[in-house]
Amino acid sequence: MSKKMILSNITVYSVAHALVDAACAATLFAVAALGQVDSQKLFQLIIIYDVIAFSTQPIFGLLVDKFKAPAQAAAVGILLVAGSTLLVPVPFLAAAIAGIGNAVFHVGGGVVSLNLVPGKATLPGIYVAPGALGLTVGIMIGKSGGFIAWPFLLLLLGSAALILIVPRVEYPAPRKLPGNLRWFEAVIVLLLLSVAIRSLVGQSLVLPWKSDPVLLIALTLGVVLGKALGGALADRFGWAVVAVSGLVVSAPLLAFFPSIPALVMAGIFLFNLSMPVTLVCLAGMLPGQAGFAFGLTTLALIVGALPAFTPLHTLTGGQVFIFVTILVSIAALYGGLRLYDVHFRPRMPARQDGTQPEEK
Amino acid sequence: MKTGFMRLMGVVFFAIPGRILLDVAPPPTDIPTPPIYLGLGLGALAVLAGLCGLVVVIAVVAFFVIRAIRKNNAK
Repeated sequence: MSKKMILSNITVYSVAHALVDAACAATLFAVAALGQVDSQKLFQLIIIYDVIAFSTQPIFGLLVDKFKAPAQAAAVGILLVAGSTLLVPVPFLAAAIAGIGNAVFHVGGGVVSLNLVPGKATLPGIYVAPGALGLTVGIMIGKSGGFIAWPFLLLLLGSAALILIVPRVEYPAPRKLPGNLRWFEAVIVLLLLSVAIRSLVGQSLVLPWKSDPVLLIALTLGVVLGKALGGALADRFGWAVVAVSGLVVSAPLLAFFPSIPALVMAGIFLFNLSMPVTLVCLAGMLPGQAGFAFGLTTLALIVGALPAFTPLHTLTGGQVFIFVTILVSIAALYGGLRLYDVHFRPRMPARQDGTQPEEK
Repeated sequence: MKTGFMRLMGVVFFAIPGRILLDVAPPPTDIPTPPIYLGLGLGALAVLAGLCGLVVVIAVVAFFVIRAIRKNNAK
């Protein structure tokens, strides 16, 4: 696959990702800013959107894998999100349509990012990273009361057209995992547990300075850079080394220094380094099922986030709880990567370009 | 794979007493608002319960799909 093809695909999909998340967030928060719903109904809207957007991705992933149509799925998802921006007068329908569109797009784009260079974490990280920035910008636009649908419509329709124009990525040739599969479910469960716990921690962090827009943007950039660079650093220096050490160093920073923005931002950057690694490792465990693998990670995200919306949030927001749960996530991630390295990585056939995935 | 993990854990456990001793963080000035689900009506709670049920159903389906993938690979 040529570098030009890789660059064009990852650029289009990552920019589209930011646009999709921005449009969804702007639509939801515009509903409240325009006075159509009170704070309780906004809470319900956010829950409806989050659950639909995150939990349905495994199902859409299975469909994308079956029909091998990630680009088409991404385009359909974008069109649904574009349509949701016109449904602000019907808030719950807007939330549902935005959630479905977001889910379909994410899976389609995720499959493309995983299949561009199979076995490498760089491109999936670059694809996922801009979503956080889009989300923050979208929330700001929605809350400001100045939401206008047509700019989002034009940008989304343009990105859908570009997705259908760029050269398509093919699914890798089907293959089976050879050898002893005794640890198959264990690796998957450990990786997903790590993802779920990281989601719980992310939702539970109490950061008193987040109301400052400059600091909020800086924090978001920490998330974006962590995800974007995590895959590249992991491919260069080793998946386990980068992912696990990033979590280890982030643990005290996030747990015990919530009032110091610089330390939290550094912690958030390190915390997010592991995201591309868990994604590509999970995809490696499910060859030919990149969409389903991507969907499993988002399912884990929503499962991990849900406790923060319940009375348990008083427990999950505690400093010691955050620290201990990050340690549990570290153990799960280390265990999953170690088992993958020992039982599955040596048995994986060489990639089509003749090289082996880097691991130290 | 190198096992520098224990070394990193040592770094972490030095940070904890360091944090306690230094106590550099000022007290938070913005108390987070608690979730507002407590004031939700029965209909809204039913919708939320349904959504949680959706998550559970999809998780169960995903589990069986994973098992099926394993069996398919074992053949």
